[in-house]
Amino acid sequence: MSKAVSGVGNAIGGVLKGAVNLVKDVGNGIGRIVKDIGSSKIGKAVLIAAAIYFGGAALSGGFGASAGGGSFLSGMSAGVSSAATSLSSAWTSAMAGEFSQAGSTLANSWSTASNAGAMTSPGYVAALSSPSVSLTETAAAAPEAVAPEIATTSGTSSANTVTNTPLGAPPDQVSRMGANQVSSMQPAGSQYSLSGASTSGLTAPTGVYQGAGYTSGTGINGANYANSLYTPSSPGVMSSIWNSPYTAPALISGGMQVGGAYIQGQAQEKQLREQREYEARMVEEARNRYNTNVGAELWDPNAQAPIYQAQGPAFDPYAEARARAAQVYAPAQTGLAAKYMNA
Amino acid sequence: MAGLIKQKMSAPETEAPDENNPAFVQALKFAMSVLYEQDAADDVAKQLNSGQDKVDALSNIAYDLTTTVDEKTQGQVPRELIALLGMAILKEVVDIAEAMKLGITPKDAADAFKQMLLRYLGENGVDTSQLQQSMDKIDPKVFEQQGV
Repeated sequence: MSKAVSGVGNAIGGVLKGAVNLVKDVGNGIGRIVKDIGSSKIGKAVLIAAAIYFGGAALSGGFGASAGGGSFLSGMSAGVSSAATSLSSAWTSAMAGEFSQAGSTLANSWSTASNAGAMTSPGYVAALSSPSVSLTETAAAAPEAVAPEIATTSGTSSANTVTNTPLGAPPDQVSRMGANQVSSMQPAGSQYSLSGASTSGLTAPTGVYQGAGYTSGTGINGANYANSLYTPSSPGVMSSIWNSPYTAPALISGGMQVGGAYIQGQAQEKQLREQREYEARMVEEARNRYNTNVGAELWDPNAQAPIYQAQGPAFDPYAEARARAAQVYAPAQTGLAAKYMNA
Repeated sequence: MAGLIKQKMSAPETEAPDENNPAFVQALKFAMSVLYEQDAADDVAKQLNSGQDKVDALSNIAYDLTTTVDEKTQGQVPRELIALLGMAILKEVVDIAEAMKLGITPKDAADAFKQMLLRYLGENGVDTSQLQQSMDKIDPKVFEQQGV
């Protein structure tokens, strides 16, 4: 038993008495559950939610009715009725685990309900009650009257015809191009036409760049001339490779490898430099430690070697000690006997 | 809804749900009896009053009640009527909440039913994320429509 049902309280608070008074006579009117649920504003919301979220029918029906000029809810009601079967089928499919089937059924229910809602609209009803129309009265005009109209307008329509008005005076920047070029940019009448009848035989104007692919005599509007202007005759090797769908990836890949190798080389060089600096620093530190701990100058900077390995006379602590001890403990004999003894 | 799962799969029905189905009537009577004759409504009221989220409380209580009723009736309620049973029970829970002056709005009730559907589908292994996104796109104003 669920948490809500278990642990029923003994006392009924005063605030709950209203709810208790709502006890339904379940023996009566059980066949009108939907109507009972929809009797209140909130219950209707539940019905709408059920229709939308699972059936999708009522709302669609409402929309259909609204579009036809009728009440949204009247159409919704019709939608619910008409889509009840679809809703039931969808729920059954979902309960059986056939969720995809349920989704398909739901989609159909939307369409069904929409049509049903539209059928309740006043506009639809009026259309049904309107008198029938004779087909002979509404027959279209004879088709031959249309054909000449098309032929007449096709030659004069501004949308389909390019006028032959020559270009106006060129701006200053264009004038600097030279007389030949400017004159070539002012074509004579009837040179340009959508029909193309008068474009043949024109030669390229003097002074305009003519690419290698241009063939004289094909006309200024010819494909050769246009291609010659915008297509280089002999593109570079890199350009060819770059523009090829087959070799461009290789070029990119190769570039990446070159760049990667360069970066890798830079990294190795830096690493070696740092290694050398580290080793030099370690040697210096070891040398300093050595000198400091001994307490004496054991390193001969001239010989770049420890003193005990240097060529010069090494410091002998024992000899030094003996010398000092001799001064202390063996002073010069200054007595009468010593004077005579040293003689 | 374990009882539902035990039912045999059948072809989608093409007829409108029969509200006079004996099993459905019995389940609904049982639900009303539990709620009001056995004073479960008092416990429902307490849970509603203590819950922080009204929609969650409505949804969970109604869903649990529906599940319990379905189990207690051995899953005899036809599948196509389970939705109606859940709606009826949710309506009763909403009535109790209104008696508690909890300020339930039509949108709350609609959202509660939506959560019931999502919970059921989720418990049956359906990824409800996209479905919930679609549901959330529904204009809440449609739930505020008045009577015909």
